[in-house]
Amino acid sequence: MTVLSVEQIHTLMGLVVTTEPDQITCDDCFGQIGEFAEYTLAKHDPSESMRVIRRHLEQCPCCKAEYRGLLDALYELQA
Amino acid sequence: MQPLLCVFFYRESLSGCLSVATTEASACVWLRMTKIKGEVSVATVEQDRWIERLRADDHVRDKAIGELREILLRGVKAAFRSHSGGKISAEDVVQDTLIKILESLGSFQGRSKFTTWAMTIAVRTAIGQMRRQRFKDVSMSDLLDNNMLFEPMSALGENGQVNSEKISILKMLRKFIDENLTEKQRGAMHSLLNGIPVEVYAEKTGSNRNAVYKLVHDARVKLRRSFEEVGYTAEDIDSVFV
Repeated sequence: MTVLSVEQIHTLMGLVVTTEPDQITCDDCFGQIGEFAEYTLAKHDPSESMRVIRRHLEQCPCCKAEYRGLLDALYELQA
Repeated sequence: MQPLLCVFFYRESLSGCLSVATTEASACVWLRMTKIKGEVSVATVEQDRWIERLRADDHVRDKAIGELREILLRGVKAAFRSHSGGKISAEDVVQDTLIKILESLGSFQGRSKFTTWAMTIAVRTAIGQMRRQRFKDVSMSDLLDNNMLFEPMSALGENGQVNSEKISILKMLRKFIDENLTEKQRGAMHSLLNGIPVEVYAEKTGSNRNAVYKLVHDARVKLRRSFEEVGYTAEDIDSVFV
């Protein structure tokens, strides 16, 4: 039987305090992430409907990692 | 002689971007007009013939696939540099991505440039494969472990100062985990705390990413609300744990 480490407990507390409502799923996010990335690259403020994407990225480590990878890829193509 | 522009499709996307597809001679042209601060302006004019070329006969199609392969390869290699995970081949990722793209051309809605859309598929494929490779040896017993036990005093750590408020919060956390989270929520949270991505947990447990993400998010919301119900805001907890 394992117990949570000190680090894991602090990670858990971090997850608890940063929790915000999230209205969309990972698939919803995936469907709009390209558009959101183009907004970011163009340094435009996203519209209200795009802000739900930002909120999801703040809550979902998997989608956030993929979004960062996408930005890196798109920056490379712009170079 | 001016080229004839014939609008045959018009829509407003969720983002507030207006997309107009037109025909100019035989070419398919996308005009994407972005609404910024109430004014509509033409932000980009994208002569994006990817779909047409990828659906064309052999020679045109092969040339388009070759060009897309090079674009995706550059992007995937850049994405690899910033992401740690299992070792996988960029060429294999791009090959898998091209198959997915060719099978799903009909689902491209023009919300972004075609190459951006293609790159989202490539990056998701790449990171997904890296995750699966990295966690391929995770056993089901690891995943089914929903034990989130800890002793509040030991959770302070070796250098932790005895802080009564911190101990009190940790005791509450332990209680809320035991009493307010379901077994499934504890299992998914436990995996997350062990660094197992939601996507991997979902695949190994026969679930799907959306469902596991919701499971974890609902657990987080439950814990946060439980603290709020006893008078602790996120800021209160943050100030004690920082």
